[in-house]
Amino acid sequence: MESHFSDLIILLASGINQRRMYFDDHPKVQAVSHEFTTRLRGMIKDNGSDEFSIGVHSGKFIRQGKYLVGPSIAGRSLIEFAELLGCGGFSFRLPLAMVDVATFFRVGAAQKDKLANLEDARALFAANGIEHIELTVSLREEGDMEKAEGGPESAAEADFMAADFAPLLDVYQALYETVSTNNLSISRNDEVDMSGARTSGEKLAGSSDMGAMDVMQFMRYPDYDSYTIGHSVRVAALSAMVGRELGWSPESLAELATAGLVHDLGKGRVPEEILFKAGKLTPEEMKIVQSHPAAGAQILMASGEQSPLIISSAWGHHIREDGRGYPVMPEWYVHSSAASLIHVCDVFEALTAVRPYKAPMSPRRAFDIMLKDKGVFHPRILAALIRSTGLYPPGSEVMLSDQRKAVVVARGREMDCPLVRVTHDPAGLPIARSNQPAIQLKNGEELEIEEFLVVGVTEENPSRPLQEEDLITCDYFS
Amino acid sequence: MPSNTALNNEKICDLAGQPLDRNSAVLLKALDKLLTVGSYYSPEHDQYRVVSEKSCAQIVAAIGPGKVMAIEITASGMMVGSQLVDPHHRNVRLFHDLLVPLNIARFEISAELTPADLRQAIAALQDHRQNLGNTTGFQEIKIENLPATVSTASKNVVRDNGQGESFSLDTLLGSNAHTGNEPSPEDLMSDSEKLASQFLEIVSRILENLEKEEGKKADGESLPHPDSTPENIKALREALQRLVEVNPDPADLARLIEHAKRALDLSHDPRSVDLVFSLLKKEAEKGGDWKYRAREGSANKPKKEYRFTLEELTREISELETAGRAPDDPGPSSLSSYLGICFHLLGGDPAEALETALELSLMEALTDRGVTKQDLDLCSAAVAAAALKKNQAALDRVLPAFCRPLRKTRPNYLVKFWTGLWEALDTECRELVWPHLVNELMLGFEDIPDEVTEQLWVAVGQLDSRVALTQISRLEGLTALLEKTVCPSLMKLPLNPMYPVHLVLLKSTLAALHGPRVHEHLCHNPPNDLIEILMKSLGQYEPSYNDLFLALIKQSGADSITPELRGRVGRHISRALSRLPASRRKEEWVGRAIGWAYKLDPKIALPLLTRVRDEKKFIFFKAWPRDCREMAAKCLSPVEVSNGVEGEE
Repeated sequence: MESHFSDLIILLASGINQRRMYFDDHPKVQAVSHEFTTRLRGMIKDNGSDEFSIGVHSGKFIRQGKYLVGPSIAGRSLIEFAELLGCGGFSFRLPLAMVDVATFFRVGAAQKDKLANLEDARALFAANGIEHIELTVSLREEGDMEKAEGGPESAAEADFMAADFAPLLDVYQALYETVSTNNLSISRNDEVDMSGARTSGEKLAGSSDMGAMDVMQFMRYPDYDSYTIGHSVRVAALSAMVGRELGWSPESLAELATAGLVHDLGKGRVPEEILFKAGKLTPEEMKIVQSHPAAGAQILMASGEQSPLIISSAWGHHIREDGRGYPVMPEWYVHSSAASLIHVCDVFEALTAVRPYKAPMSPRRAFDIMLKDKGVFHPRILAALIRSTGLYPPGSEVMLSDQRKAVVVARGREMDCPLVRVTHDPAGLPIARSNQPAIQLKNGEELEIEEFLVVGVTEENPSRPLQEEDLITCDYFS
Repeated sequence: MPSNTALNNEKICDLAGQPLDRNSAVLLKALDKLLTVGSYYSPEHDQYRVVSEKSCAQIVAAIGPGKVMAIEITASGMMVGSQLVDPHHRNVRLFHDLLVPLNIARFEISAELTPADLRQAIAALQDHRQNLGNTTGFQEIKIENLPATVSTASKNVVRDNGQGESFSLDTLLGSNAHTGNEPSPEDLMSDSEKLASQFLEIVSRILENLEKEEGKKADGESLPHPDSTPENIKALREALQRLVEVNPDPADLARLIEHAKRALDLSHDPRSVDLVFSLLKKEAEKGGDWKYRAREGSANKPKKEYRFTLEELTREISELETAGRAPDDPGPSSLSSYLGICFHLLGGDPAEALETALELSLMEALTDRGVTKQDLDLCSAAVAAAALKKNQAALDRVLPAFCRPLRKTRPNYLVKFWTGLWEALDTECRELVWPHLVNELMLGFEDIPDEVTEQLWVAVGQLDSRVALTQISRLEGLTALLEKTVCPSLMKLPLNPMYPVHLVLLKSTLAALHGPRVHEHLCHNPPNDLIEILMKSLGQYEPSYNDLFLALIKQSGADSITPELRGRVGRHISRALSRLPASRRKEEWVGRAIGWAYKLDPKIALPLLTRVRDEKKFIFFKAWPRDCREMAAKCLSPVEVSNGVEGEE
């Protein structure tokens, strides 16, 4: 039951996203409308009721009075829609028709401004002829009569996060949805939707030079999104960035970004109990995990994908520059430069990303490790990664030498002197967005970066010793 | 009186700016310490266990016997006791950030908490936290695997119209009252914990005394010692904090306790207290391998140790940028890689759908004019490798996938490929690739000189015919036979050297098509007089002649033919002659045919010869031409002489 409920939420959010990208009659939009309507009817019928409700409060979904947790990015568009309407959620009743759902998506995709009150929202629905979908009243937490916005720090923190991510949310959400949808397809032995992946990859690569870097800021997004999915999104962003640094063509960059999104598709064929195993993997389990690059490439090919760059990247992103790694290939095999690039970005992301089972590493520490064994990475691609990310990639949180906290906005000319925006005062209190000063750090000046922070973990916290499972993505330790 | 919890002398204040209740502060700091150390060490590490034991002791002491302490998460902050705490405080943040994503509204600990319970609870919460990142759907979090001494309640949400339904609140586990028979918190402590607890108690009393002295200063009395200033007391507190916060060595603590005890015996003597003060300060500042996080300024901060300094890193990058070759253009290198992957997969055991996809992919990739010679060489190497592995099934996938696209676009390359491959293979491998080469030759190579393909024909003609027969089914699965195509170049060649090919073709599904070709070839290019005669005798092609043709082809290169074949051919000629219509008896071959009929099988030919010699039409006229009669007579005369029969005119 819970999985059906979750699926319906994801379908609703997906429908809004799809409608943003396409038009009413587009097959993808129609398909989502159809699937949602069919599933909803089935679920309502099975329950013996005539209604299905989803609550929305404080940026989360509610069911029967309880918060739900899940990939918040995947449901973001639906949550935002509810917040713009000022409602506490949606109630779907039979006989819901596909046209109602399609119109719901259209209105959700088009709505940009917050409405004054719930009555206006209801009037909007009525004006658009949406039947059988009701807007419920707002919710509140039991026992908590005061609204959160009365609290200074937490509200400022929320505003701070929201303001940072708002312009990029569409991009990240599209990327996330692409990967998430394809992962689901793999688990169901369905075909992969490469057209969606390509569209997302093109969008990412076609953005400005800062666009890809901006997406890197999602490295510090609340980390209870699916790590596997977020990892692919960030590898895609990194790949486009490094490819641009190498001067590759726009067409190659678009393919590279797409390759990044789908490079780990093969993991969908690895049993979850092995993929997420906390302890050391047995040799048999390791073999299964190491089959994912070949599996991913074959899934893509069987789905009709014929791009040499995408296929070779999926296949070869764990093959080292010295020929070791996996899958083991014969002597005549040529390792593609795109695969080498994805390899570099894959490892860097794995080392520096936030995970609950390990402390994230600062880029500088990651570079230390990646430079350790010369045979692992293509030297010039590695150099391009280091040049393009710098010691403090955009989106990094840092502690300045005057104890203020800041976010890196852009690379500077020097590797250790980026442009930062100060976000917290020395006492740790957040500064209102409009008052956050931007500072270009310079060598030789007193103000410098003292510590690299990622979601509250300091540079001084050493990682736990790398375990075997880390070697799945950090496979240069031989 | 300010909080004097020596563990961590940093104050935690509530949102109103008031210092937090002592017990609440101890609780939060103990939890924070365990979480902090937990990011250093794995849960199985001894150090983590030691700290968990200490934290548990502090928590239990703070809670008090038989009681329960709760921490609540609200929209405004974290409620501990009756005070709201800033969730971003450094001693609060880690725990707050652990609870919030799990939607925990209330976290309760009972005074019966044990170190194992504490570790279990933290581990359970962290497991749930980690699982959030693995989830791909939305679900309610149900916190499981908590020990009995720890409980949680999740947030409830209700409608804001005051009339809507409210949802049931999870019931909390009730806290168990002390019965008095349970061990006291002190009894549960390990020696290290006792030591630490003792030390803390002593030091806090020392500090109390110091503060009393400060109070005297405020009252105008003189200070016992100039060093007993608020700043120095603060510094001492910080030093003590660092001392115990990370990696406390029990030996150090024991030493300090000795000092403290000695001073306490004289605790009312300000000079003695001062002595302890100085000694403690010295102990704390001894440093060594204590890790500490100082906030006195970066000068005192330990330098992070990276493998490279910034300059070295910059140099390293510059070296990397000139090392090796520049990365290949992603397009071409990806194509090469992709081709290799396709052949590698085809050489394995791909599923049907994948196999089809691979074939289509290769067709598209290899017919692209952009494919380079290097790419083709790579593919050739892949195919050759498959051939050397002697895997027939793999070859049957790999060879067509390679040859089909190149047949039209790169016939030159394909011919060279086959020439090179054939030369490189041993007999066994040649047998495996033979049907494919025959197939290619039968389909023909555009714009390739005949003499080039002839060499390959000759090569395939060298296969043992018995082996060739075993390859019929494989050949029938290939394009030439499926499309019933035979390149004319085959029939330009002498038949005998190509016997294995003709054998296979005449035994295959192509027999009905190839037979007439062979017939025509034999008719127009008879290798000898006998075959010429035979072909004229046979007349039109009939499928039943195929076996005869094969025998003729096989033996046409020999000096003599087998008796069996002699008999067959003789019978065919005799039969043909005996049925020959009168209008054809004058053809020039007939006379020779008569001679051959006798030569091949006199017994069978005898009646025919007699007939030819003696047959009359219209009573008077000879039915057969003179040369035929003469030949017949000539053949018959040795017979009749031996039988005593005179020949008639």
